Parts: sequence; C-alpha cells; structure tokens
Amino acid sequence: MPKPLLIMENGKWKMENDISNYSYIAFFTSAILHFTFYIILVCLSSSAFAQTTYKSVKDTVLLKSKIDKMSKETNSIESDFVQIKNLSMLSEKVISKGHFWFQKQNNLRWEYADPYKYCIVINKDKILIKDENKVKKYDMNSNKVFKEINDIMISCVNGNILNSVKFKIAYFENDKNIKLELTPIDKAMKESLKKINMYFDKNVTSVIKLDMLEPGDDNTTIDFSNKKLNAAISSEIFMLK
Amino acid sequence: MRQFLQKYLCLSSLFIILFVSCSPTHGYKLSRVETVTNDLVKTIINKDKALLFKAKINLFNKYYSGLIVLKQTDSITSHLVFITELGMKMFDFEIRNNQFKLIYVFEPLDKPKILNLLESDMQLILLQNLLNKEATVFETKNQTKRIYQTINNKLKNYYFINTSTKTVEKTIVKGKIFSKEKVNYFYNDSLNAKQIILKHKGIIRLKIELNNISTKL
Repeated sequence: MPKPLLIMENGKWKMENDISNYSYIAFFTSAILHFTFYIILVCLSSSAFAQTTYKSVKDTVLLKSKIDKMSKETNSIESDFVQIKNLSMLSEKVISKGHFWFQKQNNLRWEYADPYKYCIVINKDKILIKDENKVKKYDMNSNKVFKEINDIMISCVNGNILNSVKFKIAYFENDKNIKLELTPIDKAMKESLKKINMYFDKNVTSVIKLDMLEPGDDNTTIDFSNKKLNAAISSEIFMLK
Repeated sequence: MRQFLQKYLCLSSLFIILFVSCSPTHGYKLSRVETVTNDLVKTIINKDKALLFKAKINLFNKYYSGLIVLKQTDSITSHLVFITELGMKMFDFEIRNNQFKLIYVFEPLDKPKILNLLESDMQLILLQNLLNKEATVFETKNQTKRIYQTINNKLKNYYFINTSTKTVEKTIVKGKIFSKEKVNYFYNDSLNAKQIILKHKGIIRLKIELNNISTKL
C-alpha cells in the first residue's frame, strides 16, 4: 500500500518528504485530486458559512421600528417550544419540551410536558408554579429575582426589550434571520448571564429563538414552533389550581 | 425502698430495650472490618452515562425545584449540577478524588450555611463517606443484608446494602442517641436509583427528593 503524497498534520496539508517511490505523474495526479477536494470543501463550507454568519444591520432605525410595530401588533402568542440546555461538562444535551402562551400585558404561561411536568404562570404581579400536583404562589414584587426573570421573559417574548435600560443591544442579520445581541449592563446580572441572543424571522413577525449564554460556556436555547399569533386565549390559561 | 428499686429497675430495662431496638444494627451480627470498594457497593454515579434527576429541595421553608445532572467526566472527576426547569444554573460541584469543590453558585444560594448543608448532603447521597473507606461490617445470618458503619465528623453513618444487587437501600446518620439524617434509595428494574429521598431530623428542616428521569437525556 503506497503512502499518500499529501498528509494532514495539525489541520494543515503537508507534503510527504519521501517521494522517491513515486513518479512525477503520480505526484501531480494526487496533488490535483487533493487540490480539487480542497476547493470543493472550501466552497461547501463557505456556502454553509453564508447561511449562518451575521453582519451588522445598517439601518437600525428601520429595524427598531419593525420590532416596535411587531410589539404593538402582538396581543397574544401561543406556541410549542423546545428548550435545549448545554452544559460545558456534559456531552449530552438536556432537552425539555412544552407549550407556551403569552397575552398582553403581563400574562405568561410556560408549561413543560416532557421529560417532566412543570408549569410557571405569570399573572400580572403574581407568579404561580405547579410542580407535579403542588401549586405555589409568589408575589412578584416581594422577590427581586422573580421580578428580574419576569421582566426579561415578558420583554423578550413581546419584543419590548428594546426599551430596556438593562442591556446593551447590537443588531445583526443574515439572509434568513434578524439577531439581537443583548449584553447585560448590570454587574450582578453579568455574573449569571453573559448574553441573550434573540432571533426574529426576516419579516420581524415574532421571536423564533432565544439563546441565553452564561459565563463558562453553558447556554440555554429555546426554539419556538407552531406559533399562533393574536389567537384568542382563555383567561383560565393564566390561572393554576 | 424496695418499691423504688423495682420502679428504677423497670425504667432502666425499658430504656435498654428501647435503645437496643432503635439501634440500626438490631438483628445484624458484627462480622468484620473491611475497606469498601466499588466491587462491594455500586456507586450512585454511573461511570458510563450521565444521570438526570428531577429534584425537589425544601430548605428552611424555601422550595427549590429543578434538575440535577450527575456525570463522571474522567476517571477521577464527576460533576453534580443543579439547574432550574427554565435552564438557569443554580450550583455546580466538582467531585475530584472524593473531594467536593464548588465551581459555581447562583448568588441567592451563595450562603455558607446553605452551601455546607448541600455539600454534606450530596456527599452523603453519593456515598462519599463510604466508598474507599474502612467500615465495620454487620450482616444478617443468611448474609443477604449487610450494614457498613463508618464514622464521619464524629457521627456514625450506617449504609444498608442489598448483597445480591450490591446497591445501597438506606443510609442513616446517627448522633449519640437519635438519628439526624436518613436517605432512602428506591430501585426498580435498573441498578441506577429510581428515587432518592433525604430527610433531616431535628432543627434542620431540609428534604431532598430526586427522581431519576435519565432515560430522557
């Protein structure tokens, strides 16, 4: 079995020193084949790159007005969601699935169905949590952490986050999506949250994905699917018994 | 005088009977002293796969719920991570060579009293005070049940082992007279614990309940 003329070493193509056993024709044929393969690889990777790479939005005023319009026009959202938790020390992902409802002004319900049953409801200034069969009620204003989480969750879902003074916001786009990078300004928040990436569809009709990055390379991604915008939602959805 | 002596004798006998019957090793016979290895007792951490538990923690009238991930990352290192259902990380302990090291804790939980309790309870649940330690062995006559007794922080820890499966079924931490903590392990068809419940007795109000949902990971 002859040795290959070009070998991969430390991620770089390198020519094998000993080529005395090969004719120059074999050498050039092999080099051309490798070169062609390399070109195809570059083309493939650059096309994949083009789909995912985001560049800064030039007209941020226009984008802000679109997000503002979306926020004003969205009175309710109902959607399925898939939450993926990546822990840097874990090769497996912790995946949870459920259903989600939002209604203006301050009503939200996250219901996890798989692999565990858990439901969190924000009903104006009350937080209700149903863990299996037990319901616990909390007053939002009595708990600073809850209030902070609520503000972020609601404003992320309806796009009101633009008015937040707690984040520095950068605007990006590619051919499919709009991405907002929200970097916390508050020092205490920075300790548990490095950044929130919020993705919209290109027409800015709703949030399609949230990616919360923590210090230390852990992150939580929430993908929304089967969305119903402005459909009627019963007030009972935002109650827990 | 005679009546007094009779009453005294009765009371003393009652206390002795109560004390002996309350002993965790009642019905077991002292057998030997040996070092407890992984071959004798199955570890709670699975070296081949990550374990995911739905966790409920009642601590000083506060309730925390979420998910606990247990993962052996290399031959001497494991991690115990607690995240909320919404994905927020609450704490991350690294266990290297049986030593616990706090890697991360969410600010509201960052209190020495809470962290020390959580650390010692997690050590107890994960059998850190048993494995590779020298223990006094008590066994039933037919040798189907075994108790390992170790001493940790001047408290006696009793580990009840099912000798056929090599799994730990119960752990009791005992002071001079009364039990302080109790951990129950429940299994079904799998050798990984299906449910683990830890309860403190006395002034410390702490209960930890872990339900294994690893199949979904």
